[in-house]
Amino acid sequence: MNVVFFVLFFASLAYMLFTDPTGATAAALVGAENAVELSVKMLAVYVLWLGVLGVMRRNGVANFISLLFRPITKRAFKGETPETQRLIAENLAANFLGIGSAATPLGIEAVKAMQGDRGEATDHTALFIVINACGVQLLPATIIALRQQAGSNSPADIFLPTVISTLLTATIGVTLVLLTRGRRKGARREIAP
Amino acid sequence: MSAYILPAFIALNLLVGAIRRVPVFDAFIEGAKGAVDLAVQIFPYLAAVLIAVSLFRESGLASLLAKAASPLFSFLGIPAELTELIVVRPMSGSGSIGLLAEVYRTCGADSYASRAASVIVGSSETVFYVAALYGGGRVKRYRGAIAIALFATFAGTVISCLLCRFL
Repeated sequence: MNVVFFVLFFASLAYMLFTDPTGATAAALVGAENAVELSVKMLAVYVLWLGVLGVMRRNGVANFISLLFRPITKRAFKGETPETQRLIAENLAANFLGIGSAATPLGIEAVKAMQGDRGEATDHTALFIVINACGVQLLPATIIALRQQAGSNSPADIFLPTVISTLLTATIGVTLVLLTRGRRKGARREIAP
Repeated sequence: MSAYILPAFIALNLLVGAIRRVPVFDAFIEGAKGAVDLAVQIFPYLAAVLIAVSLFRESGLASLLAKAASPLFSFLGIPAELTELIVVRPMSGSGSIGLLAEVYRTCGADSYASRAASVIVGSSETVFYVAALYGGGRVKRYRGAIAIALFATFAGTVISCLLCRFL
């Protein structure tokens, strides 16, 4: 991100010094104003959805959804301790519901448990990171709310394509990890006979 | 159908809460307390990205880049307006929310570009951030996990744009 930020910022400024030096700071301030406006909008979205999530944690729905993931994690992360599998299930459930802030600490714990003191990602860690990095989010509540605020007539109509796309993305990611897993093991055996 | 999902989801949660005798108001407050912190936390990220992007747009470099990328993107069915969003998406979550709002503002919230952008952001993650965070200095070699996640994300981008044409 540092590189992208530098390139965008510096190249634009350098270019504008030749084309439109007076417009440069004005353009920067327009960006900052947009950020202020958007933060206020996001605050409204957050307060609604974090409130609902608060209810979900207390009424057992969040727990229930993580139970639904247990059979999958048991199979995909076979050999890990039940405690680790529970962490993974809860992490996936939190992602599923779009609660990134709850998913993160669970995920970090899970990776810690799977890695031990190994520096190279284990097959399970690689799989887990890819699942998380492919963003298996099934309730795009924030985006729907944001779209509503932007004046959309049917803000929720992105729900179905989002669900299909997120599942396909994760499927592609998981398939690639599983495919390269066999190849990697073979390769390692050749290196270290 | 989609319009019912979120309100029904909230209503169901309230109902389950009431049946199980959860103090729903207190639980809501407990969760909502985090909102201000979260908004304050993402503000500097939003500002940094939107300032850089605003300059990038105003300078005219953005349209040059979009023009350069358009043969590839139009071949893959990706609207040219989403070039910056696609670059920033794997790197910054709040940055991509900022760019998504920009697409809504410039193209209109119900345009094809806005719908595609929504699906792209909704169906993907900040790959680099997730990998760095979960690896937490512990994982030194990712053994292709990051490359795979990036590839899947880009494939997902193409899929998202395609889906928005039909759904």
